[in-house]
Amino acid sequence: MADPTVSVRDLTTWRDSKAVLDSISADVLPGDIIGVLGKNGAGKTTLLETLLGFSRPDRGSVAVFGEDALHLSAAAKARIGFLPQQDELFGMLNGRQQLAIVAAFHAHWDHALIERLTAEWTVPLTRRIDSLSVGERQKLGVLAALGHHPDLLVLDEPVASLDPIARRQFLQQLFAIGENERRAVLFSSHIVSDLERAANKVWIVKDGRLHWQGELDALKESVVRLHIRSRAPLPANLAAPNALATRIDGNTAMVTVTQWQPALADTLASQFDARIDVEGLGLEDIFLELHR
Amino acid sequence: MKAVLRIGWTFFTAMPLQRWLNGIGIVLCGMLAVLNLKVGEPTWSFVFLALFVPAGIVTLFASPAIFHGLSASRSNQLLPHFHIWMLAALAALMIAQLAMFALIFVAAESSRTPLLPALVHVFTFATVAFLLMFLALSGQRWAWWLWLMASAGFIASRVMPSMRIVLDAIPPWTWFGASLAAWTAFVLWYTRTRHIGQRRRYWQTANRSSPIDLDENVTRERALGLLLSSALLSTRWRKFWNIVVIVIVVVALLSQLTDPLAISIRGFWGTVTLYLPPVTSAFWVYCVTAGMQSATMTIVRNSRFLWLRIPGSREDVQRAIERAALRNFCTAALMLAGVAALYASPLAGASPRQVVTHFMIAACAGLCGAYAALSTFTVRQVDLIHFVSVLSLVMAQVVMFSLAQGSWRALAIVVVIQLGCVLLLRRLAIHRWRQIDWLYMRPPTQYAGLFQR
Repeated sequence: MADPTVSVRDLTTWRDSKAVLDSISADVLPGDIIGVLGKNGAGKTTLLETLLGFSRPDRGSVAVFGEDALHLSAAAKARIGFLPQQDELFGMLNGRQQLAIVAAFHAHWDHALIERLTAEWTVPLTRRIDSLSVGERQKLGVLAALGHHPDLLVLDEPVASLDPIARRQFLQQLFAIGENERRAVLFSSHIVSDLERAANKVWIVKDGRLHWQGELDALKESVVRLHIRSRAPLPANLAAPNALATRIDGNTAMVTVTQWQPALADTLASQFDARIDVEGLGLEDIFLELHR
Repeated sequence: MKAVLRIGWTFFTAMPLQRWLNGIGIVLCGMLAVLNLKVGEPTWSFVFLALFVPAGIVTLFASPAIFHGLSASRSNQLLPHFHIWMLAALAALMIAQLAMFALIFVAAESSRTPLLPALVHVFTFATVAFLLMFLALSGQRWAWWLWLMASAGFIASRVMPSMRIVLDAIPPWTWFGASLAAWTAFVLWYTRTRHIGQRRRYWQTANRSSPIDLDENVTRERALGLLLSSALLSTRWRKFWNIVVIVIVVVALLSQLTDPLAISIRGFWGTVTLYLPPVTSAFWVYCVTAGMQSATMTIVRNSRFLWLRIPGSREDVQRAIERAALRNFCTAALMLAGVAALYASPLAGASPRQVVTHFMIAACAGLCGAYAALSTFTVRQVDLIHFVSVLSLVMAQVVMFSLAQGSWRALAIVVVIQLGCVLLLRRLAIHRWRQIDWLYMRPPTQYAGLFQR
């Protein structure tokens, strides 16, 4: 197995006597495209920025390319691309000048890629940044994060302000990055359909904890909704193992379970003399069920 | 009415610094009032001053920023009768300030000046202060210069008898009429305008109209320099400033050639350079401390950009910032040396001790200001703590400056104290820098946190 690009161990951060990040341990491997999902205030931005050493955790450690995130060498920093949630572009520059400043810090800057993406995404590089729309600024921020072909790309809400066309183009670029097995991408988004399309792994952050981490397909296989139809009224205290949510209406019930095993359907069928239909859920439904 | 009261309350309490000072003012006022009643011969002017100085003056200077912050918000402009209520609240604020001043004035029994002209002067000052600051915050940079010139003129008028005579000859009602005209113009503009310029971010201080001298082939050093100093300013202003300095120096030296010219220039010179010891040197102590702390603080707040650009740990970023701050200090020291040379010239005719005192104390003040900025940042309440610390530093240095006028020994002691302070602040800076949290320590956005602390 390849060395992890990012290795997180027992990461804990407190703010005002509340754990913003709580005992998080995870690895980001080369080739991973990880979508980070969570409610507002769940700790996504804190997590992503702490991974890059912007914030010092109260407990635990983060290693990026094998180096302590709080003491990254120039070589390690050169392999990171980062797009913060709030853009930090210099308003009085134009886009070309902004990119020139970022390019100056990298030994290799793919001008051809930037030119191509600029044309495809229609980014007006000659206009002053403070006259650009929010979406145009966001595109510029993404370009600045991509130009040096980073091995670790961390994007905090990269598509929040993009139109559907730009979002699709951005996702295609992510696919292209994903084809390179050396690189890893970590991005947060509230647009679950995009995340579902682009990511091969998911981290679900809930109350500062990593509620789920793993392959997206595994998550979908793990969380299912069971439709139970019985001949007799179902008990009000119907309890299925690993149930996330249970809704009972007379002879029928809907139970969402995690860690799904087919044997459970047989058990429930015989227990309640019922027919069990298994419904696979999309990521958005799973997210909603996990937050009930 | 409720809206006016609410906005009026906001004028006094929006910034955390105001809330602290209001509290201090109320406590001081209460204590002095009790003391007064016990003593038997009450001097109520001190009681009112105790409230007015911390609460009133700060509110006067904070009100343009608060008024601008509320007015610039597009969503606020959609509120029913918003402009009218804002203006009504502003009028109430002005009346409250004038009433407070009148109380102090009346309470000070020794005053022989009639109340009304004094109130007119205060009203004029408040008008100039508010309008110029409001315009400056709306992106009219010339207003800052006008404000600076008006302040310099005010100080000069206090210390130069001839200028004071000229100003005193102007009838108070002229000032009052001019102020009313200014307010009328402002009200007409404010109630009709659809757009009020946004205050620029600290770290984006370039003039909107200035071209940026930056091409596509930026070196790493240049890019780092830009991020460190946020010196994205065009060289136009710098060139202009250099020319102004050269012209002043040349005129000053030329004026030595002919006596009649020297005499006439000397009066002008005293006004433009504020060469009025010890006011001048105290002014420089303030300028250099505040200027250096402000420049360094800008770099500190930009340090988030540097984290993924400068190799190594937080200490490495801190060292890069310290180097940038010291480079700024070298520039400031050069400017001070120029000023000291001018003081030493026959035009000003300051003694060597005065010149050295001025230079050494102001230079050390610059170092103190820079290290105060490096050391007093915290995750939150950064502006408040920073403001208070730098203000204390300036006041302490101005006091020390007056002590250092005594002898060479006194000067040496003061400089040693200042350098000791620098070393302490540096140690504190290094200690605190290890804890810097860029999740919160970001370049501030439009009025970030102004109303929400």
